Amino acid sequence: MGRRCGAVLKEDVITHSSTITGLIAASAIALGGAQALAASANGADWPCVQRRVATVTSAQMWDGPDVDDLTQWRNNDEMKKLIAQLLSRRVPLDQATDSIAQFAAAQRSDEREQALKLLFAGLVDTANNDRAIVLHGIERFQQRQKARAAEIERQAAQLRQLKEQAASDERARADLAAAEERHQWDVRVFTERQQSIPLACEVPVLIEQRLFELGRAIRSHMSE
Amino acid sequence: MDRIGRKGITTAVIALLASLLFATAAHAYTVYVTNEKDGTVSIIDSAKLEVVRTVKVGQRPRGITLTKDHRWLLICASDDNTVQVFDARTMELVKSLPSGQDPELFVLHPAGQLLYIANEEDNLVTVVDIEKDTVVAEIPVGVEPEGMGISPDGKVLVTTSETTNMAHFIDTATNAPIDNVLVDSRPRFAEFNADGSQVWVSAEIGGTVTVIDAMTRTVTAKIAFKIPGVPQDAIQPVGVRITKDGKRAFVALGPSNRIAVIETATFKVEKYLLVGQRVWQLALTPDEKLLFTTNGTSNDVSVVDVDKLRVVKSIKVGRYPWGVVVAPF
Repeated sequence: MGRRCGAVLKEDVITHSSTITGLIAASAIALGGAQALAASANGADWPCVQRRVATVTSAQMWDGPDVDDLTQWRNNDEMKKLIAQLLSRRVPLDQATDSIAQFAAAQRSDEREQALKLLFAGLVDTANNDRAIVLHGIERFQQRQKARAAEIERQAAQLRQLKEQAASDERARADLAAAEERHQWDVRVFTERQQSIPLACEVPVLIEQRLFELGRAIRSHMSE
Repeated sequence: MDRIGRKGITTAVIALLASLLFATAAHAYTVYVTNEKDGTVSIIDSAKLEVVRTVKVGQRPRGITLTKDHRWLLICASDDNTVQVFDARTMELVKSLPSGQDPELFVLHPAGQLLYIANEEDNLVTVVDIEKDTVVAEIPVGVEPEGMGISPDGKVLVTTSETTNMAHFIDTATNAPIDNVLVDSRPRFAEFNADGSQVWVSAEIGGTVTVIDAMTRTVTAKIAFKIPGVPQDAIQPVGVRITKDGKRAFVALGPSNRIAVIETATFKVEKYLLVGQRVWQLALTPDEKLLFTTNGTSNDVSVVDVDKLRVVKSIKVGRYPWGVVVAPF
């Protein structure tokens, strides 16, 4: 689960060979980014256009019975293994729905309904845990971006000061070159990471999409 | 069984199949769905209930409608800041109309020539003559106009304002405001019933539909929704459709993934139907036997049997399906 969200939120390594944009333009991006952050955060660390929904319920995901309080699936290792496999986005959806069909067919007819309910209960619960990890990851990512934005603003102020001093001070000139390079670097890191936020925001949606499809597949094997 | 008997049965079976085929063919309509993320329109055959064609259109297509003569398909290409006009049968691009900034939803005047387009960012409604390709008027309205409804006689335009939570009534003869009615938070959609006596306005955040008396412009009813097990903030009413006889209304309820079926005589919810994720807009077939819903997150369209009130099929379309319209051919 952690691996799945980690893949999207991984901070890319940025190489020195990349084109470095001009200092003024970069500062403008950084400051614009900082304002956007402040505007979208609304006091919270949620950067996504999508509304933050802490958990999804079974009733949102299917029209079958309410299974949110069912927990017996936790005692069934085979079911837990199936749940992990069904939710893994590396497993194609067709394969997952086939696995559900096989699971349904393998149940005794008088136990099938209950087994399918338990399976879905486990899927909802596990998907909610996956989502919670992702939501937390997105918020931590945003906190780091805010810290970067603050640092970039601080550097910009320092650069203005160094520029004034550099006119008459040899040492300030040397410091200015190093400070500019550092500033450009940080702006670049900030900007590139900012661009990955919309992608990260899609991850909770992807989890919900899959859960909904799995719910549909399970429902098709139920008579209730 | 003797030969004649068998032949008779075969003939009867063929006749039955032929009549079934004929019946199916008689009810085949064309359903057009805008896919916001893909920049495409999915075309569905309502008899086969499958996508028969996918056509590339402008960027971020959302609102979609047909001209009254069913000749042209109009699409809000939001990110291209234009309304595209396609030949509805061939899907060839006929022309692009001026639309103002970021067109999202629009409504065509019943006379068929004037198109009223909501420009959310400019707080305007742009009125475009679709034959002459000219902007006829720009009507300043409330902050962030969104929903657009027009009375069946074409005399009154209703726009909803997302920020001020109002339905603005506008006289289409003078383009001057007549009245404002307060509704609930983030009104999204305005729909007149067929006899023009009521306007139904959905409120996405408020989670309600306000029914307004179109003559007195007072609130007749406020419909709230409750679905066991579904968090209240996931119930976000958007698209509304009312049957021609005015007896039944359907409301798309966003991320609750359901539509509500409402008996209009009592304003009571008859039933909630699970469709797909983030259900957004709705369209009925001309015979009102089927209802199509666009489900933005599950990337599909659900088909509802209106008589049985059952979801009969889910059809995969492009990414982020948004608007839907049905042609009578």
